[in-house]
Amino acid sequence: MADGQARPGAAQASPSAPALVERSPGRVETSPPRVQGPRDRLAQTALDAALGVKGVAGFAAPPGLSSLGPLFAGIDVVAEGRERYGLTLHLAAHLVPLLPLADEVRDAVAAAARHDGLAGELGRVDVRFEALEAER
Amino acid sequence: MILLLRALARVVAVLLPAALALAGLAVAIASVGSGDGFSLPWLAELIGLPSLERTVGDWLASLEADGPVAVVAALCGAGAVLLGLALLAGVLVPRRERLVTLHSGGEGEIAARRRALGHVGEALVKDADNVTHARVKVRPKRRSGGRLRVTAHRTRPADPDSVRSATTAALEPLTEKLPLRAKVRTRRGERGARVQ
Repeated sequence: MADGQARPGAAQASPSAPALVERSPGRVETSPPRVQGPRDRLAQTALDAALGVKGVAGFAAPPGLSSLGPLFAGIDVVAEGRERYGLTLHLAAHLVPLLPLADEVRDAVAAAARHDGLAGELGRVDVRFEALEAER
Repeated sequence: MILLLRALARVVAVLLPAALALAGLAVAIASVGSGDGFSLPWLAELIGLPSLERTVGDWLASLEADGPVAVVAALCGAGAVLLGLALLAGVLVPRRERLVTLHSGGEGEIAARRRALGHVGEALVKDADNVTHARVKVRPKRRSGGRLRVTAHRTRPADPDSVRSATTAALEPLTEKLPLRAKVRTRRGERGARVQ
């Protein structure tokens, strides 16, 4: 996703994109870039990759705070040993087959992590569908 | 039910300590004083304890003896025990998981919210023949998958068995691709209800 452009239907855009996408309950506004360590970079990479998958409507933050705070609401990052992080992606999806979509999201995240030199840091990727909505 | 008990336990957990703290504060402040003015007897008089004692004294005396009042007291005691157990259940019994695990493996887990799956089920059943509207509740299984409890409201002249079959068929995109099993029951719709 290009900087400054919001993907239609996306609940939360990349933190690198300062645009606000949509304001609705449980959804989150974007913030200015504030990426720090590999943990944050991995979250941002996953966020960008997942939003690029057809069928993903956006990120939907579950009740409670993300482990990374509001910058990456909708993604939980948990350390899995030394310099390896497991991700939980809380997605809002369109009405499409969920298992293939989840696999596609995982593949996209893994490919993006490889591209950004973060393959070694990427651990388990859990996908949680928080909301399913009709495509607009 | 557990949700209600949990909410009740939370309310009691807030209100009871607050009430006890206020009462303790009042007693502590009153204990500082002495004599006719600001003292414990003054506090007791203020909240009407002597007159209360005169009012309920006879009742308390009859409470100690055998008789109908003792039965009421025993029932109240049993009620208090039950209330305590209910509050304990509200605190200790875990809430039902809100996620249904769809797939679990070494690479990660795929799960969905019960409510989201229910909405998908309702959207699918809406297209079934002779169904006016439907309600789908999702119950997760302990490890993986879940059950869909579907209530399909049918038009009055429609045959229940055919509506059940149509509803089950409409849910196939969910039940065939995901580890979900559907249990469908039909209800006759309201007079004048139409397929939308």
